[in-house]
Amino acid sequence: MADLALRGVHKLFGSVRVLHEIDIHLPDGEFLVLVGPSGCGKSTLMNVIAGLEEPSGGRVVLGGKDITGAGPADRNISMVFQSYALYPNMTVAANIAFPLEMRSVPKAKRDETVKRVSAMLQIDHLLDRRPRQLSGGQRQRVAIGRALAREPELFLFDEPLSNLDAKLRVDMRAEIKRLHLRTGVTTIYVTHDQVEAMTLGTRIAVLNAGRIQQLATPLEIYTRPANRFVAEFIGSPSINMFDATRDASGTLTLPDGAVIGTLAEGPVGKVSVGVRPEHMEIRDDGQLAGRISLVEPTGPETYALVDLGHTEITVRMGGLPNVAMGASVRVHVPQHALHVFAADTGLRLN
Amino acid sequence: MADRTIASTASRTLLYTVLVGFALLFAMPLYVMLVNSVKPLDEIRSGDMMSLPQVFTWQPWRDAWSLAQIGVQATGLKPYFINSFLMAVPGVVISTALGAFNGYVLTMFRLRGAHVIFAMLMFSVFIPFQIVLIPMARTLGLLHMAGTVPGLVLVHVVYGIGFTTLFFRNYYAAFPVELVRSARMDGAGFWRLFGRLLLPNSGPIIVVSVIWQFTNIWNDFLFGASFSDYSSFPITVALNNLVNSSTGVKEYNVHFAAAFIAGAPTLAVYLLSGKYFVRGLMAGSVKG
Amino acid sequence: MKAPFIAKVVLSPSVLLIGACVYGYIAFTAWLSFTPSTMMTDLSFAGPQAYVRLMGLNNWQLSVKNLGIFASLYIIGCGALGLGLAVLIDQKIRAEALFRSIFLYPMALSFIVTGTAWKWLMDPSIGLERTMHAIGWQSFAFGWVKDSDLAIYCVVIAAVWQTSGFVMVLFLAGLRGVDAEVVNAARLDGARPWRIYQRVIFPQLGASFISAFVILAHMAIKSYDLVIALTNGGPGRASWLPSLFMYQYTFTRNEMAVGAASAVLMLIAIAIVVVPYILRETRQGGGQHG
Repeated sequence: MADLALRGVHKLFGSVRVLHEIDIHLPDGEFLVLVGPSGCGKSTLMNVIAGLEEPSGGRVVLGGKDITGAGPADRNISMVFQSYALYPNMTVAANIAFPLEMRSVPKAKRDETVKRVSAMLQIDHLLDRRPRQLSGGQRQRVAIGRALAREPELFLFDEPLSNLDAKLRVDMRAEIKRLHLRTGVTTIYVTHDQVEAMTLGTRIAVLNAGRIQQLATPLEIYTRPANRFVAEFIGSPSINMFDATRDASGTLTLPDGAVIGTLAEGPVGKVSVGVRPEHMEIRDDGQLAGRISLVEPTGPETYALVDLGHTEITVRMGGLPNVAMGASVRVHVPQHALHVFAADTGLRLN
Repeated sequence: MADRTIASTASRTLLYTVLVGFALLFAMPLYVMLVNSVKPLDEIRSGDMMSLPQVFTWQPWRDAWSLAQIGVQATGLKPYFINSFLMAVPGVVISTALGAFNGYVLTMFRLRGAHVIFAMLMFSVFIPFQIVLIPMARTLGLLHMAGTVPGLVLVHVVYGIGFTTLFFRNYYAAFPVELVRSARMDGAGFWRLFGRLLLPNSGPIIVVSVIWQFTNIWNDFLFGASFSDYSSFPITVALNNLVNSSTGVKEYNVHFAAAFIAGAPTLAVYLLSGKYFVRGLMAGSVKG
Repeated sequence: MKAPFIAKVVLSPSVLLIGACVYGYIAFTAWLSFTPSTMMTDLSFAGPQAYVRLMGLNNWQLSVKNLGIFASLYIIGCGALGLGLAVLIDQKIRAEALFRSIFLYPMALSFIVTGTAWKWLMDPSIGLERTMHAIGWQSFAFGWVKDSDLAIYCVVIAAVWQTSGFVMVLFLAGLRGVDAEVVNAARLDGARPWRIYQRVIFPQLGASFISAFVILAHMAIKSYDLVIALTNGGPGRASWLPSLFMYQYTFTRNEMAVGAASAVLMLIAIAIVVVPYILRETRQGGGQHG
């Protein structure tokens, strides 16, 4: 168990910069989720932390020790891979024991660890099977077991749930969270699924194009996204974004002339304004005027797509639908729900 | 393999040293062949094989090509080179064509016993050809094709079908099912499906088959030695004749030049074909 | 789709040719081996007398013994060298394509061509021995090719040189089929490079080992061209193999039944190795477009 610090880590592949000056400090016992779209660099970052790839610059420090130059075997880090990467020619027991065997742990201790770990993960009845005889979820657990056996200082999970079907994914998500509560090992978890990110992490780092866009708790990322990218990436359905103009008095006006709200301090001219679907309400006194173009009931709630003329927005309503397609409506936006971003940099203004 | 290679810098030097060492070993016989084919005979006898020529001469090549004594005639390799071509080209074309048809039928239609037929075709690739020498000799005699180039073409076609069918069958088995289904739904019949969909997309495997068959047929010795006579020797038999039955003075330089002439076509095909050659090698071995 | 009549028509020339010229001929030769044929074919049944005579012949026993030596050294030699070269090349080296071409080019050449080159290379009067003397290593002797006991080993050397490139290609494909993430997992688990090969990678090469074995074994049994070119079976008959035996006894010594019997035994030896392999390979795939 240890804290992890990344200082100025960057990576180039040839002339392409894949990671730009990554700085992360992760206290001991935290569960950090690295989330971002494909190609954002999260897998590369994982490989650098694990020692599978060398950074082009910067330092990786684990538990106070600089491990930047150390090989993957010497870092006391375990990783669970997306494809589980189990040794196909070995039994489950041999798979779990392998890292211990490589460190010359005596057989008795190895067997005892295998028993303990497999019992914890409820795979102790599978110890003599080969990976090809196991289901996806079972292989997942064996991979976790192998990672646990070493009692490492840092756990890395590289999109471990993406190969599972939906229901299993939800079950395993909870298991991983429970596992973390039990063992308390510092963990970094990579995913492209923002629901996983929100539910699993004590902290989230949103990555895009090799840069950290925001590193904060899930709540903060959701309620105060640091820039436009984070606001649009996190949240399902996505945040509604408006092109607006701010005048000298702070009034924010939409292209059709409707006033959506005010921003006390900020630049004059073009800005982006974001409002989450759940904050919008169809009300007769709403600021925005439009026409319902689509109604999507999902069971517990209903999403209404409203065409405002210059853009289309999503409004979340609880329960079953009570509006009709094509109806003219007005949509209310409360002041506190506005997220205002600079039009050029995308940075948060409020 | 992962990004950071398994060997560190010191070992990389060792790695390259070993590889270059083996590369030199592998290249050595070819080097020896070339270098000694342009030396005059006394230089070979008095000097050593590995050194570069002190006196450079093309005469051994001229001898090998048109003057050397092969059998009873001093014609050099030229007529036999031509024989090999006359034998190889039809052999390659016919066996490839048959292989393509066979592969098509075996994969695109439900045929009772298809697996058995395929297994029997595959086994024919592995048999020791000694087992067919006697009856084939008799058959060729009966057909009045003994000792002729067409006779050799027939032999190579028959024993090449196994390979070519293997190539095409595996290739068509991996062909996207949806394309075939939609072509059939569009009304493509037996010939159309083959000629308009499969064949135009068979470029790679046709190249593999042609390269493989050409190499095998050109390089064959056993069939050539068994079924040809002086007028129809392929170049391999002529070469062996030249080298092994020369009495008296052994003209090593001529032998080397002759060997290179005999090997040049397949070597050229190999150098030009690159990955297709490798594909041919792999097709008969590891599945998939 | 069920095969229409035309499909069967298209397939039949090959089926007939193979049926007749492979299996029909095998049957004919097998029958011949049970006849008293010598110079002319005599199709009367004579029981296993040709086999009895065959087993008692010194030439045959020598051929079989040579085959044993040749085949085992050939398989082990090509296997080890091929695997070694594949592992070396797999280390992400530059000019990989160049190295691969150099190791593989011998496969493009006829055994007669390479036999000719090696024949003179190994000849004591002008070959390697001479070169070593010229460098100054006077006591070096390499007259193996003229030595009755050692000539067969010369054939081994030339054969391993010829075929290792092919085995290398086989194993290279196998190595590249190993999942990179599994290798990464092993690195993280603390395995040093050699251990990774030994415990993780090689065990997954099973299919490659089998293919290599089957193909090398059958090539060893069939070896003919190389021996003819390199030693012509000599000195004397010291490097005879069953393939040479068959040719000599059938066409030169006019003992057709004995020659046929030797061919049948060669076929059986190959069948033992190859048939299980073929059955496995043809069970999968094909016909899904039907």
